[in-house]
Amino acid sequence: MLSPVTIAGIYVVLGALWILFSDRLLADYIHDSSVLTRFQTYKGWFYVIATGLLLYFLVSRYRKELDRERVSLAESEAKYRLLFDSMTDAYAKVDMSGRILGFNRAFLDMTGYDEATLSLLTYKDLTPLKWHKEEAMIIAEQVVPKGCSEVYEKEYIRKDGAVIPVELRTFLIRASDGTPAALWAIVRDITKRKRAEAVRTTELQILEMISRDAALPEVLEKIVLSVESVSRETIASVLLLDPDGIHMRNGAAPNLPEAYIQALEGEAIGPSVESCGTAAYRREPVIVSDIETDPLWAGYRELARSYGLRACWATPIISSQGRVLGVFAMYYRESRTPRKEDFALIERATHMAGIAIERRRTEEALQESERFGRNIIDSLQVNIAVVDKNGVIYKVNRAWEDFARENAEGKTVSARAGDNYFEVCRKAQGPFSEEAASALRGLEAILAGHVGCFDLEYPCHSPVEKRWFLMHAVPLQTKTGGLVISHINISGVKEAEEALQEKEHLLSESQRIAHIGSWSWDLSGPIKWTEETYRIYGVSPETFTPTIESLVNLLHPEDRPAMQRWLELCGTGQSPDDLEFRVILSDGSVRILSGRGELMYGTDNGPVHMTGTVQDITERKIMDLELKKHRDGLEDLVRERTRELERSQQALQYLLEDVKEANARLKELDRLKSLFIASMSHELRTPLNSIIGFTGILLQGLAGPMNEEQKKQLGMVKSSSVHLLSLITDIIDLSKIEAGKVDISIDRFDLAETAREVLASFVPPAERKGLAMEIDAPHTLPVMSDARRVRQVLMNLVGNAVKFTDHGGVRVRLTEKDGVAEVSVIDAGAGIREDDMDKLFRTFSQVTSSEMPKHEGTGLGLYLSKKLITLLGGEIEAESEYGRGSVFRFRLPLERGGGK
Amino acid sequence: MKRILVVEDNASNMYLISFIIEKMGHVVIKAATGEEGVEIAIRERPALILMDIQLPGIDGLEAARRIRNSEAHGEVPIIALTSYAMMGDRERLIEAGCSGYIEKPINPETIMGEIEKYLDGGR
Repeated sequence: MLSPVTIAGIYVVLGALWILFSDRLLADYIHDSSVLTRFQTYKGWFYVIATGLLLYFLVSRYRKELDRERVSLAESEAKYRLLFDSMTDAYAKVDMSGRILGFNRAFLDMTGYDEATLSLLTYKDLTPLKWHKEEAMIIAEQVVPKGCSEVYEKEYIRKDGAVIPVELRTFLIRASDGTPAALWAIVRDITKRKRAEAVRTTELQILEMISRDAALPEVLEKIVLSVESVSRETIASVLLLDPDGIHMRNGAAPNLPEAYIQALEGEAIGPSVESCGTAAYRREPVIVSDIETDPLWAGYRELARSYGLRACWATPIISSQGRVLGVFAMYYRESRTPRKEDFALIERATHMAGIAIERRRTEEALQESERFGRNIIDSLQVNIAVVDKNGVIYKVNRAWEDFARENAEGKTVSARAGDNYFEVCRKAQGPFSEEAASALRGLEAILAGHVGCFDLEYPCHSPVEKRWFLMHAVPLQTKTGGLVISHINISGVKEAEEALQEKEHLLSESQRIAHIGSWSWDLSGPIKWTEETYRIYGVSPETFTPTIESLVNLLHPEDRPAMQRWLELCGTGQSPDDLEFRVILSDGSVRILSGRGELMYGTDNGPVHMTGTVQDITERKIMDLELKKHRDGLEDLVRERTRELERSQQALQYLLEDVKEANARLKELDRLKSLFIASMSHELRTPLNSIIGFTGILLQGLAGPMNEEQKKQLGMVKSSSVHLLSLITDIIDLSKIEAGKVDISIDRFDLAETAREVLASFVPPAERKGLAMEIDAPHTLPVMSDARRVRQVLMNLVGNAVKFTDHGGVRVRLTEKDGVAEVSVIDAGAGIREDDMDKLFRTFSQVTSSEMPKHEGTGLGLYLSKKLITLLGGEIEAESEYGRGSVFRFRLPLERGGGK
Repeated sequence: MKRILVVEDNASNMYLISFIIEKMGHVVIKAATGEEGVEIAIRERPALILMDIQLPGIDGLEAARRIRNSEAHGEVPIIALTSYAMMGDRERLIEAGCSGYIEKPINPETIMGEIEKYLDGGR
């Protein structure tokens, strides 16, 4: 294509040529001036038209081109725009004063501003003050001279005020004259990277803490705090599961309310124990987005609500062996569901906590195991020390320590941890120098590998006791090597050995003195004799070997079969009886011996061993014979006496049986007597009733008139009969009581009324004697008892009172207290001597006195009264002052009737 | 003059009681056993019966019970004659149909008073 300049040139040349030659051409061909003029006009028109056409052509062509260019420019601009906007990195263009000229979408997102606002700002408005100087320096030193900067970091202030870390590179744009016109910056938000870096740093710190054995709560707290610093709204905590695998304890929760922690302290895990307990139980994460609605929190909802906790994500911390160590939990005050990054955070925290806890547990186990070993070693009563190859003691047990402390002042060889044992041995002086040197040689031999172990027994007497020690050394089977040296106090064993020797000596001596030898025989092996046994058999240990055959051969020929049988019996395992046998000694004398043996049995209950004694009983035998003679005489005597004794014993036995029989008969008789008397009542009474009845008729004059003497005598008949009848009646009552046949009829009645009636019935005789009768009783006093028997007793007591009182009066008093009725009959009579008091309630024992006439009475009244009151569950008693009067008192339960 | 049945096995007592009753001007019908007493009581319809309790054969209680159960003669007063030892159970006497009792030994005044009381209609 021709350029416009070329076209313009051609036009100018052609135009000039046209101007130069067109007039001449016209003048050559056209001579007519008028025609020429006309043609000159045509020529002018043609030029104008040609020029116009050319111009038109040119203009239209340029316009097209211009349009095309404009479109392509717009396209390219849009493309760039799209490109910038689609960039994840932010881009911004500022002029040299810092005013923001352009930016992409990422920049808007990053800063949080809208386009309009951003256009009014400078980049310094977005940059915290502390960066201004540094950035200005970068621009001056790098961007302007070099055209672009290195990548550098600074911060932006977002529209919401948050400060975010960014990384950027700035480019310079120069104007056409080469002066700096604008700056371009490619900016990247590095918040995430920074956070990850922070997390990594924290993790490193935590790992470092773990590795230098920081306390577990400290480590866990660090983990929790790091989580909280990354995820701002969370409250994190770590719970530890007890070794029992059931109960949870707080591990670290610096920002959970203390009371909330306390409320859950020691909680047992389970299938629905809020998030944490459930997570530990299920061994899988339990994410509760809303505590208000989650069934797992049913029992803990109130608690959580009171502390404003709304969400809880719990993840079990699981050891490398698959054991649940604890739970990591994140609480939120709003309902919340975890996002992807939260899971990553949880995983890291859980992992770290797991490492920390497991490490602590492992260490504890190790310490425990060390303690265990240490305790065992310390518990040994053996002094143990471990020395290295050079002899330096680096570990001792408690026994060694104690020994070293106790003997530090003494003359014994002693060494403490840190001492060089070899040196100590080398420098030992005095009584131990020899043993010490020997020990040193032994230890060196072990270290050199010549021997596997070394033992040395040595005395080590302290001022207060005799001691022996056994030194025992073995190589230490570790990488570093060394020796384990132990000293065992064997004084006990030594003493036992000495004591044994002493005992053996004593035994031998006593056998010699007592002429008792002993032997032992392993049934399958040899027979061992003590010295005395040899002596008894009259043989020498040098020349005689005891075997079954040699033993039997020593015996009197007549006794040999018995001995053979005895020995065979032992072989079968039966413990034999003592055996007496004779031996013929080398001098031909015969001695009588007594053998005795006891078998010992093995685990299979078979006989394995036998021990026994042999004794020379010759003298005793002779003495026995002498004694026997005397004894025989004595025995006869004793036998006779024994027979006599037996005879008298027999007689006694018979007597005893007789007495028993008589006793039984007596009892039966007594019963029969009572029965008899009771059944005689009717027969005895009927004639008496007749007598009394007829006397009554006669005395009343119903059968005709009588003179005074007749009346008087008949009166005596009547009173005697009445007395006899009452005597019989009393006896019958007594017999019935004693025969157990008395009828008791319990009913409710008024004791007060009964008392008043009884008293009333005695008013006539009392008035005759000039006595006053008084009663002091409540209006009513109901009791459950036998009314007739109580009345009988009352009649008796009041009757007695009237009978024995001559002046004054008789008073009856009724009281009731604590369910017991008490009746007192008080008289002003003669009274009873103290000596006579105990006779009162006996049969036929009317208390009399010389100055008093014998009173009429059966003598059975009080005895009968006592029997009756006792039968009714009550008690009766009397008190009296001689010459002043008596009180007879009985008590009855208000509600109980009595025994039978 | 009323007819009074006395059931009593002891001759002396029978005489004693009869004597007193006759002295009072009444007629005595005598029976020596319980069976006889029941038979006579039903047949003779006495105005009052004095009944000894301890009798050979059926005792006074049983006799009283039979008399009470006889349709013809249910209303007659029966006074039991009882010894002290028998007195224990007043209820047993009442239950058997006795109207009252007199305790032995017999006191003429007492027995006369009781007879008068029951003949006058006291029960």
